[in-house]
Amino acid sequence: MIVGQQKKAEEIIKMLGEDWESLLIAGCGTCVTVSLAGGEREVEALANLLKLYYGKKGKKVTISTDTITRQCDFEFIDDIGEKIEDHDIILSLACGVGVQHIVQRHPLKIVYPGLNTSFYGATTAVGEWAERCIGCGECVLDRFGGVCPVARCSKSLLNGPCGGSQDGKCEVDDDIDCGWELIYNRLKDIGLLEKLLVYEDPKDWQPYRDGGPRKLTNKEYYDE
Amino acid sequence: MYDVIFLGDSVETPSLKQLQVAPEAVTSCKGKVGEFFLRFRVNGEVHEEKTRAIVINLPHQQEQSFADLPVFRENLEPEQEKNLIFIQDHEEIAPAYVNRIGLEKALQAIRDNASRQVYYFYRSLRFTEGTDQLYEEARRSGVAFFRYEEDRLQISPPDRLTYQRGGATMEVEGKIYTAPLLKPAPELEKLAQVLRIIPGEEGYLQAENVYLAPTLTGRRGIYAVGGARSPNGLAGFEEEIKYTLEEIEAFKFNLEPLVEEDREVDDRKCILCYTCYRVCPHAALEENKEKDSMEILKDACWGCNGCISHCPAGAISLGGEEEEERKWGLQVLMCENSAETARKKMPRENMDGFISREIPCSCSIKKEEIYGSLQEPEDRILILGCFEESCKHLEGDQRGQRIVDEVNETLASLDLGEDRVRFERLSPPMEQDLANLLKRWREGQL
Repeated sequence: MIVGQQKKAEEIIKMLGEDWESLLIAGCGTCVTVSLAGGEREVEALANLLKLYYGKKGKKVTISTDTITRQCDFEFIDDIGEKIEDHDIILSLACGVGVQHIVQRHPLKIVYPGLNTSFYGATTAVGEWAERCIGCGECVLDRFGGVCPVARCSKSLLNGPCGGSQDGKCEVDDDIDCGWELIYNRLKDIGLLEKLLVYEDPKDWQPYRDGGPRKLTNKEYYDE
Repeated sequence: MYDVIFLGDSVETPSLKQLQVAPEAVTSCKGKVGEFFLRFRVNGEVHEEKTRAIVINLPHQQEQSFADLPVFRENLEPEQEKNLIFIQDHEEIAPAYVNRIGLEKALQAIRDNASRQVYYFYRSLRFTEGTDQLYEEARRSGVAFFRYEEDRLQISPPDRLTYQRGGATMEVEGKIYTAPLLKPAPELEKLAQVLRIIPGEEGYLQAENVYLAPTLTGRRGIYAVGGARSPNGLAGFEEEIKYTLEEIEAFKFNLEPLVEEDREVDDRKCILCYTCYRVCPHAALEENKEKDSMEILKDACWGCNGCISHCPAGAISLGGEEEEERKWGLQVLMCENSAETARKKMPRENMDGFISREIPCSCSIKKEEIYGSLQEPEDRILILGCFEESCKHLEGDQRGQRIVDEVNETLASLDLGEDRVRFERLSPPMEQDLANLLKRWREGQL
């Protein structure tokens, strides 16, 4: 899922500026609800905090809230379409995809992001998520025991490890496991270490961002 | 349906239908007290059995405290001729099991041969019923006890040591036995995960907590005895197992929920994020595949409301709960297991001017409600939770504290007051402390 982290209240307030009277905080009920950043609870908490802040400042504002199933589909955005039109500013607590999708549906509205979209990750403990994929567009997990060298090695090395790995930790930060140690141990555990004897050619990064913004079509719906 | 499944060693229980399963074979445990579904794998084949209760009974792992010296164990037969030296080198209070074995062996040694010297050096002893009697007997029989501080005992393996105290130095010689260091069984870490039990600090399956005595884990219907429970698990093993089996026997016929209210998950709002499942200290939530939603297993629920306050989708509520009218002023939220009990013992006038509300646990507070309750300048909130290890919901006090810390950090960053929300801990007998606390808080002197 997409993991997000709510922006600091100070930053949000600065972003909103002074020139508005009504604000709609829009939550997203899928990924960022799971990563405890932009679901109904976070939306309500932020709304009450902002009411408290503007109340103290003496600024008269209307702050409304709504959380829809997914902001990355127009059908759900349309459920609150009128509400969006009725407010000066929309603060979206979805990932960057949701923010832009509201912008696309409501081209004349001011829409701001309330979250930083962090990464594609998995829940590793309650309240903890870790990056597992960068969406490189060409999956290599078959050759690396199911541990991604692109996402989990700080240098995305395909023929690792580098010389900076020590005691299973990455030189970038002691809190980061060396992705290549994970790959080695995993292949050893499943008896497939010989996979590492194959030299990996340089990765073609075109299917990733380097080929420009990506778009996919499904053959059931579109011709080639 | 079994009455009890033993993970590890089984214990004879004529009146209970039982099964023994190797702890490392267990792969999952769904359900609740009275009806657990335990899955395990034997010779590659997956089995699932239903049981009313589970008892984890595993031995301690014992390690040497000093590399070159043997440890005293249950089956030790002290040598006949030599003088004997026992060393119990536990920095903190020694596990009762270690204490008992050491004292028994020292006593046996002096009884076997009254002409020998038996020395007992210790840094700490734990006296429980039975061990203080052993200690007295050992002393009367001639075992010489010496308490020592670190660095006051120098050991020269295999059979000599020097002891210093108050400027005096004593040298003794004899066969040396040292107390074993106890470690949790290696299976416990995985078992805690699979059975969804919050372990204690050292990794044993019973957290240090008054509500879990004597053998219950945080998950109702699952018990830890012996070396699975804690370093003190084996001291009263017979009593532990007797009590445990009696309790299982009792709820075989009469299993009542621990809470009256119904907590409900709205299946239209639940997004199956599993936050409640992970947050619940009592493993009382499970996915209902038919409803495509989480659900609360009422018999497993201890009523902390942590699932309600942490659900990111706002999908869980107390059945019949009505939106409370918003109140302003000095609000005191008191945990029903500590501060609220203290309040009832305190003269009523101490609460004058405060709006008080009983809460099931400090983990049930919601940050959105806190912000909502601070809208007027004079609004302040005091949350009174339990001390660590006295929280009925194991980690509830810590969760409550964290929510308050986060709220305060945010309020401070916006210059909205640094001390408008306060978290304090109390216990039920602290009514005087509560009165003082309220007075000082009202005056802004906390």
